[in-house]
Amino acid sequence: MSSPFKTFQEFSEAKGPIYTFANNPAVIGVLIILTALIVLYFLYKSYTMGRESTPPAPSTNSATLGALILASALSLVGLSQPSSPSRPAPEANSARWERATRNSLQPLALLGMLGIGGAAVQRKRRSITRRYRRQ
Amino acid sequence: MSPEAQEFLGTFVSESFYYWAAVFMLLIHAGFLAYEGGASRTKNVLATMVKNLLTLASVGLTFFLFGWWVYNAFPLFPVTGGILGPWTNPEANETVAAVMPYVEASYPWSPALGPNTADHLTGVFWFAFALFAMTTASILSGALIERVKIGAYLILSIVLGSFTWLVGAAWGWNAFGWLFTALGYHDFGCSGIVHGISGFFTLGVLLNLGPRIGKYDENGKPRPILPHNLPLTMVGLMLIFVGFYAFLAACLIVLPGYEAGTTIYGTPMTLASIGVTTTLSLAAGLVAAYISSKADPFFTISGALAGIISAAGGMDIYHPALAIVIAFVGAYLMPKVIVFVERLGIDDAVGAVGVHGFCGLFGSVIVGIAAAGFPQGDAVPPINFFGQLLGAVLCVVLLGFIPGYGTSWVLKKLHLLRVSRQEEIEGLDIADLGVEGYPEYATMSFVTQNAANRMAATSVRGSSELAAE
Repeated sequence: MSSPFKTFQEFSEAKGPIYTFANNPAVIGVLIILTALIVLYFLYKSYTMGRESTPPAPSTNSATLGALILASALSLVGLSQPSSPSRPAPEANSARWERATRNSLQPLALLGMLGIGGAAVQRKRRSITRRYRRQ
Repeated sequence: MSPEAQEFLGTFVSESFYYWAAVFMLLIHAGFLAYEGGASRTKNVLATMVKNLLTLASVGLTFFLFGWWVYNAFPLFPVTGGILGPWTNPEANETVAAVMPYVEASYPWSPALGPNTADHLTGVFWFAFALFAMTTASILSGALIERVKIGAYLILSIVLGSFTWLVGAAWGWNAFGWLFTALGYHDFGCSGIVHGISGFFTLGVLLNLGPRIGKYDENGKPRPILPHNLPLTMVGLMLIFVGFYAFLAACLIVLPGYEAGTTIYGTPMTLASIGVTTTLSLAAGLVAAYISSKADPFFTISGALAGIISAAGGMDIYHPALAIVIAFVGAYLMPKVIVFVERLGIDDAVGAVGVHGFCGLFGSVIVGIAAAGFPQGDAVPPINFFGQLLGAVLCVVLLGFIPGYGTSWVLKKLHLLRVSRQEEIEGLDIADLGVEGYPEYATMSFVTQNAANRMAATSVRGSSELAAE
């Protein structure tokens, strides 16, 4: 029995601990150890579950790296070619948008501030898009 | 200070305590509103929130009309007496004579409920119990989102919030209740009385309501319908936690002339221990659900509530370490129960059956093991496993599942339970309210409609017709 009291009078007039196992400190000790184990297990799982939920790390062997480098190099080839003719002609709005974006890139390229410029382009793009929406 | 002033101060302390506890309990509703709104899809967000909001009206008014009377009139029925009312002879026996003043103060026409300088406390108890009732009905609300008719929900909320749980409370959460006096049933924080009853009532309704369109594939395999705003859901649950501190504090009985606080059963307790145990149960519940669900955010935050509910039944007497273990076990099992219920083909949008039904049942039954032997009164059995098990099962089946299933079955037969297929696909914001929750954004319904128009018309829709960002 977890009750430290035998009669209701004893319970209702108690001046002191009235909780379960108040007369059995060993049980309380076991429960506190159990609590500490739960906390430790929680901390342990917080690391292992992170690993379980994230995708497996990419392989770093030489063959994979070689394939990735080759794929990256091939992707650059496309930059030297003109736009694909199969691509649909841009609408008037997007042509004006692209012109505005291209103009805004020139001074940035000269300054070599591509990192900061990227943010500026995004802001410009947003404001231009909004302007066209309002028209 | 004059004796009259001292007497007034004593009364005012009680009056203020329950008044402010009930005010903070309203945060449970703010939380449920955000929780359900976040859990719904964008096309249903307003209808979901309005449905929850209307619980305050449906339960508030009917609790005044008959709910408060049900709580005071049913504690003896059917084991130790009849239903008490204007027809009862107040001098029938000693018990009836003791209960009748409460019954007479619970009629809508009672002078005790209006401004009355001779009674400062009946009104605040009414207020606190009304908030308990609204909380109980609100638990049902979230599970039914995105396909229930608002009228059907209002009827169900009245049956649950203003009748069945109050019968359960009269039996098992009342110093005169027969579950307590005859079986020794002890449920300090209403694990079984509020959460168990509402969770199983919800289960009964869900069986008749059926799943949302698209919830299950052609093979019956459940598909996730993701919350449109999980952060809002999480904030909602945080508000619910705050409200629950007030809910549990309001379970303390402190009246003018008392030398110590007691539970509703007249056993000693302290308010401080509720603060300690609620906090630790919340923490243990979070840990358990986090581990059990493998860090699923929805389950993790629901775990805090599951932990509190699991420990609430014996929170007045549990040692904090015992409450931690109990909360951990209840909250660890909760995600498994929710997944199990989902696999049965029952679409419980917010996991109410698992969090409230299962943990409520678990929390009330476990008192019979963890707090076995605690004396509760001279003629009342001590806390025992049989009393807890029988009391909890009676509550969840007789006052939860059966009324929930029965009422929703009748509504279903009358075609009053569920919205039409077209309305459900279109979204309840438009179907019920005629407005969208996010009219300024390019929501899925807007994009779909826009795409359909593009297909139909030869002219291209101008960008000016798009909603502003």
